[in-house]
Amino acid sequence: VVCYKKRSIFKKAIVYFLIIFFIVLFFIPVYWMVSSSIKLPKDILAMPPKFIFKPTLENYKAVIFGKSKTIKTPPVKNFTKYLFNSVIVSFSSTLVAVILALPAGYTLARFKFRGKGIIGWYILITRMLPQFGILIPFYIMFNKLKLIDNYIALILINLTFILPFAIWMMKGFIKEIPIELEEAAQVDGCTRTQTIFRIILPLALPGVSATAVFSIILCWNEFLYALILTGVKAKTATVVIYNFITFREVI
Amino acid sequence: MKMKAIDNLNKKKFPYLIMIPVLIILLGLTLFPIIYSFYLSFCNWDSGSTIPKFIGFRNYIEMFTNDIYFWNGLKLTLIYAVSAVTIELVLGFIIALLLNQRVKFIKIFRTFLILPMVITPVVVGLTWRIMYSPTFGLLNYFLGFFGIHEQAWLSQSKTALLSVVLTDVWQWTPFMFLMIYAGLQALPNEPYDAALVDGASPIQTLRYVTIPLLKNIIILALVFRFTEAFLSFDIIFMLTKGGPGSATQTLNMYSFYKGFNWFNLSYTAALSIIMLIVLISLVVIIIKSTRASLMEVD
Repeated sequence: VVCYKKRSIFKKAIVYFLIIFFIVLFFIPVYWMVSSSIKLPKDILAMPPKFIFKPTLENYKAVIFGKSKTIKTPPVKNFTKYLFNSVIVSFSSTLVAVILALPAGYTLARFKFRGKGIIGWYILITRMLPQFGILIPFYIMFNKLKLIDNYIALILINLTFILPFAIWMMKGFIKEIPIELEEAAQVDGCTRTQTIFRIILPLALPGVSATAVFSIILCWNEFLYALILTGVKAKTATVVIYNFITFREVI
Repeated sequence: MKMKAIDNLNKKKFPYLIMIPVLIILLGLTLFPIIYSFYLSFCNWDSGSTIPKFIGFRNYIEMFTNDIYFWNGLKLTLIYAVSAVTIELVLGFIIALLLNQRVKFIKIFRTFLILPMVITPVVVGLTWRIMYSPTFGLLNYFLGFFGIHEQAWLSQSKTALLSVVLTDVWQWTPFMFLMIYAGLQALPNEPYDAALVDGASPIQTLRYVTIPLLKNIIILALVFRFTEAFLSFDIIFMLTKGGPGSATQTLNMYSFYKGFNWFNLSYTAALSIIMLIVLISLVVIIIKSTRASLMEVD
């Protein structure tokens, strides 16, 4: 028994060691990224890398206000404006997607009808559409409609990947809600619309917010479409970050 | 009886009433562009001409017979996707098994482990670009301890693809881990008790109990990741832009250059159509060969 116990302690130690090892491995780049943001330029470029340094908020000052004492030439002016663009685009795309996906997800979760299986497969296939196959027709269309560098263009093209995703998520969440609740409501004399608004909607709210958060993140991270479809006005934060390396060639 | 008839009718009409408008929007957003790209792929439309001119299969013939960049891109895309996803699967599985050992502080561990996944890919690319830097990069510094000489990771054609794959692995192993971990948590206890009674070794339990039970989730995660890796753009674009030369020029990067550097939109459309066909065939092969049932489409 003692031997067995010793072995199990030994095993535990190995498990913890490996977990810590993986965490360190995955965490180093994150630490590097965050710490670089509060370092002065000379500390970032120091070799060997400085793990202990005097933190500074100058970089954030430069990013937010466009000027600072120590960082002479701010790489991007008006970064806040582009962040605001990102916010507008991601929130509006998500709003539209959720409004459309909620009834669609409800129907897919609750009803049997013709072509339901095909819709499920089609939603999975939309994930596999190459970005350029989507982008080029939209690019041509937006060019004709003079919508390049406009929020509407970005919101529309973001919907191509978040709408199927949102429908898929909503369907999953609504399926989890017991159907008995709905039946009980109908027995008590609720009409279908009442059931949806009084029973399903409140219960699906956590699912709705999870879907919304994920869609916002997806739109926020989107880079390629924004790179091609925006110029000066509607440029989003990801594109500005990319411009940052091309202009400054920090590396 | 009459009431029931109306109710039934409503129940039949309701789904169509809701689904048709949403479907029209969904198809307009996704199917219409692909059909247009398909049409465009049979045309010639570059910066010189103003309207697309129908030329039949010539784009495809050119691509298959005369375009070394296409074949190079296809090869690189497959190497990239297969190697990245395989490493992610193995690492993710190991980490999920480790965390499943009833360890303490599990929530903290999990939070730390999924951090890379929530960072914007563009920012990940930027960070790793600095870390790969030959003169002041973190990677060379750490490898220096092991006596490995400074390398220009991203500007040598030997190491560029490896570096890009490594970054992908770093960012997306957490996703694999999360999917498999969720699957492990949901497993029933009985098969494990049975295996214990039968005197199965841990490795046998893993091989004959855990993996078969998790098959569907593993394949689902695999399909998701494979699709994303096949279509990966942000990380490669931020790190190497397809270079040096064409050492990391995957099909998506090549599409970018053809379409928006040389403005040969019809050729890019043809490339996209081929990518779609290759990707769907590969995914179908993965699903069919493992006999996984991925969807509770019902």
